[in-house]
Amino acid sequence: MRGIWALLGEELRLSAQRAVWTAAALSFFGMAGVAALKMLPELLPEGAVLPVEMTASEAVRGYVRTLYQIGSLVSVMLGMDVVSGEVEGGTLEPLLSAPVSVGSVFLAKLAARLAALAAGVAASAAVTWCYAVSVFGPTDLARTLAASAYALLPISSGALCAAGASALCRSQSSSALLGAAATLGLFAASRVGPRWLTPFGRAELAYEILDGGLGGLARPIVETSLALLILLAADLAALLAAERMERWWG
Amino acid sequence: MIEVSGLVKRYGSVTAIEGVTFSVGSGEVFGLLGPNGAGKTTTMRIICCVIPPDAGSVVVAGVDALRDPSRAKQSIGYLPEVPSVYSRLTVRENLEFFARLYGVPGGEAEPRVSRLLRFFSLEERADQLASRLSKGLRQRLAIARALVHDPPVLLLDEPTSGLDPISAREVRDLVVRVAREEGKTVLLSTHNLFEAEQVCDRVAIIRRTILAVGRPRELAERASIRVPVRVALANPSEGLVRVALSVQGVTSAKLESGELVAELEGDPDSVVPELSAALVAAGAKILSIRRTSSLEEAFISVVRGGPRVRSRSVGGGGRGPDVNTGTAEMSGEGVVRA
Repeated sequence: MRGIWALLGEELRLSAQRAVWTAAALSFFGMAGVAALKMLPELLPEGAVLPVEMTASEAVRGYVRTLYQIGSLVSVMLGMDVVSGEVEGGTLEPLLSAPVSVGSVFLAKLAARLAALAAGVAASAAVTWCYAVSVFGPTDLARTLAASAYALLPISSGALCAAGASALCRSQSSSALLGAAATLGLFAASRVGPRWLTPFGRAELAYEILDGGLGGLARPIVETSLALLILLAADLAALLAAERMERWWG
Repeated sequence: MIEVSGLVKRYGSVTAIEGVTFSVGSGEVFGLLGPNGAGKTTTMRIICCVIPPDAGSVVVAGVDALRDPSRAKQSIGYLPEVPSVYSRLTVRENLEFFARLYGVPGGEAEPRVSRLLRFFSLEERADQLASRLSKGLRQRLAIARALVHDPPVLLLDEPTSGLDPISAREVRDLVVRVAREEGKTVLLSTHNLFEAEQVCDRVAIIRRTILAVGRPRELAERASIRVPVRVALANPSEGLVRVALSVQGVTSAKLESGELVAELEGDPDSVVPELSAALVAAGAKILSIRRTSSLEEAFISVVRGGPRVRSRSVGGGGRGPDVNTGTAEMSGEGVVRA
C-alpha cells in the first residue's frame, strides 16, 4: 500500500502544473465567452432582437456550456498518458519491478489527474465569474461554483475514457484519439439512450442549478456518479486485460 | 541467491524461452549471453516479476518470486534494457521517488541517496533534470535507482547497450565495483562477449533454452575451440611457419598476406606467449599479434551447434563432474543443456 501513497504524492506534486494549465485553458475560453456576449449587440444588425439576455448569469451559463465542450477535451488530454505515458517513456518497467501493482499506478495517476481537473475547473469558474460580474453586474457565486462542480462529474468521463484507452494503447496520441472517440460516444449515447446510461445523461442539471432549482438533486447526482463508477470499472477491466495480454512490452 | 528452474514463456504460438534453468550464487556476477531474440529480456522480466511465466519457478533470496512477488521485488534491483528515468524529475528526485516507492524509511533514504550519488559520481548533477543527462549518465542514474533500496540482487538487462565505448567502460567498471564493494549478486544479460568475459564470473549461453553454463574460459575449453591468431611479421617466411607448428597447442599455421595465421587449441593465454617467444627466438620481427576472443568462438560454436562441447554430465552420467554448479549436462548434439 505504501507504494500507492508514494505514487499519489508524486503525481499530486506534478499535478499542480497540470491544474494551472487546465485553469488557464478553461479561464481563457470562459472569459472569451463573456467577451463575445458583451460584443454581441455590436455584431448583430441594427434593430435585431438579441437571442440571449445580456446578464452575468447568461454569461456564466455560457461558461458551463464551454466546460462541457472544452472541459471534456481537456479532461481527455489529462487522462491520455496514465499508462501509455509510462510505456512511451519506458518507465513502466522499472515502476512495476518495484512492489507496486499496475492497478495502484493507474488509480494513483488517475486520482491526481482528476484532482488537477477539479482544481482547474474551480479556479476557472471563479475567474470567469469575476469577469462576468465586472462586465454585466452581480450574479450568484455559490451557484456558479455548484454548477461547475456538478459539470465536473460528466466531464471527468473524458479522463476516465482516455485513461482506459491508455491502458490498451502503446502511445499517448492513440490513447487521446480513442479516449476522445469514447467520450463522444458517451455524449451521443446520452441523447439517444436512457439518461442513466452515461455521465452526460443529466448534463442539463448544471443549468438547473444556475437557475436556482436546487431541489431533487440527489438522485441525478447519484446516477451520474454511478455512471462514472461503471466507467472506472470498465477502465480497470481494460487494464487487467492489457496486463494479461502483456500489451506494454516490446 | 537466484534459482531459476524450468522457465517457459510463450507468446501465442511463439516460444520465447523453454526450460530455462540456472542458479546464481551469492556475490557472483553471472552473465546471460545470447543473440538478439534469445530470451534474455524475457528471462529478466520474469525474474523481477514484471511478467509471469507459463511454467517454472523463480526463487530470489529465498523467496518464491511467483508466489510472493512483493517480497521478492524488495530483494531485486532491476535495470531494464532502455535506461529510462523520469525526465521531469531531477537526478536526486528520481532516486528519492523510488526510495519512497520501495518504502525506504525517510531517515534512511536521504543518506542512501547521497551515498549513491557519490558512488556513481552524480553529485554535481544531483539537482539537474534527468532529461539533461547524457545517455551514459542516465544509465548510471538508472543503475543507482536500481540500488536505492539496497537489494542483495541486481538484474541488469544489457547495461551497456547503445553506449559509446567510454560510457560502456565506465558502466562495466561500475558493475564490477557494485559486485565487489557492495557485495551484490549481479545477473546481467548481454550479447557483448567482451563484456561478458571482462565482467562475469560465470556465463550462461541462452537461445530459448540454456545451451551452456560455465566460466568464460571453461566454456571455450569445453567447446574445443580453435582460436585463430594473426601474427603480423616484418620478415614472413615458411621457416617461421614451421617454427609455429612446432609449438604445443598450435594445430595449424600458414602465411596469408604477410601475416602468419595460426589456429590454437586449448588456453590461448598460455599458447600465445609460447608462440611469440618461439617466433622471436627464430628471428621473427613481430609487428602485432591479434586474436579473437575465445568466448566469442565458444559462443558462436555453441549457438550454431558447431564443434562438440567437451562437457561432463551431472552425477552418474559417466563423464565426471561438471564445471558449473551442476545444472548442465551434455546433449546428444554436443551442446550443454540445462
